[in-house]
Amino acid sequence: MEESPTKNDYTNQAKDKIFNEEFMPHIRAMYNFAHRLTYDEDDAKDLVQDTFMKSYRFINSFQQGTNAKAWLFRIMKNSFINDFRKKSKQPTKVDYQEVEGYYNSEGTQKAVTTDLRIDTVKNLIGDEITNALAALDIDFRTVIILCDLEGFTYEEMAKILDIPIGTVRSRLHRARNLLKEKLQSYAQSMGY
Amino acid sequence: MSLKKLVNEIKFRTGTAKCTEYLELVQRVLDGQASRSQEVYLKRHQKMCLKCLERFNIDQEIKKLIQLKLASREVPEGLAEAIKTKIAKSA
Ligand SMILES: [Zn+2]
Repeated sequence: MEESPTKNDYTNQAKDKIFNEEFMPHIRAMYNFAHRLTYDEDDAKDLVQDTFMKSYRFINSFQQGTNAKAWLFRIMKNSFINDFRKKSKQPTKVDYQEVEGYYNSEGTQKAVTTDLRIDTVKNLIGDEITNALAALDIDFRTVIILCDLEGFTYEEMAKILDIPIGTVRSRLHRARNLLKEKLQSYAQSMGY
Repeated sequence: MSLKKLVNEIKFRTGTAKCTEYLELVQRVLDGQASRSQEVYLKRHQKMCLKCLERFNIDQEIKKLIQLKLASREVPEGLAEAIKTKIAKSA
């Protein structure tokens, strides 16, 4: 992403400048993303370190002044999938429906009719949101983090996740419905 | 444009199309990625359809909740330095 057609050939000085001025300011967002992927402080630290090391190694394919945050998030997402997911024995689930034009399918209509009410939502506390998000499959959790917490556009998300923009939208839509289902069951168990 | 398409387009713009037709707009507006006119079409529909209005408000509330309640962690002490040291060594 943001790759220039011809690779750059930055001097060491330029590399350090890009690294310090364009990459490092995102360390907090990176650490939080890592923590929300791994839910473990040490794993999160490793993942951040790994991501920044890679970003430096591949710095010539980064175009100075472009979207560094999205570029870094993409590296982190790939590192997590390639290295960490394997280690953590998390099964890869592919059992969800993910087709474009999802909006008009029956599943959507059914899924949006949860009984969740606005006052119920207002009564939810941080722990419940945290738990509901954590309970989501990693791919669904990721789109919510990228969109709602980090404020990436659909287009940026498509690049970070290497999926078409239509898939970003349908995955996000599905993720939100799943989150609502979880929140609703919390609310029910709390007697709201 | 065929007549049928034109009619559907007019329905959509005036807010009188089926609820499912607005699902994509709901998401775009929620995420601040709709055009001005798309926002207007959705608003027109929501004026006539309380169900869609309520759903939208719930989605918006959840989005706000995610932003407010999910704590942002501080970067562990020494992490930034450790990274810089490692890079200095590797370069
Ligand atoms: Zn409606």
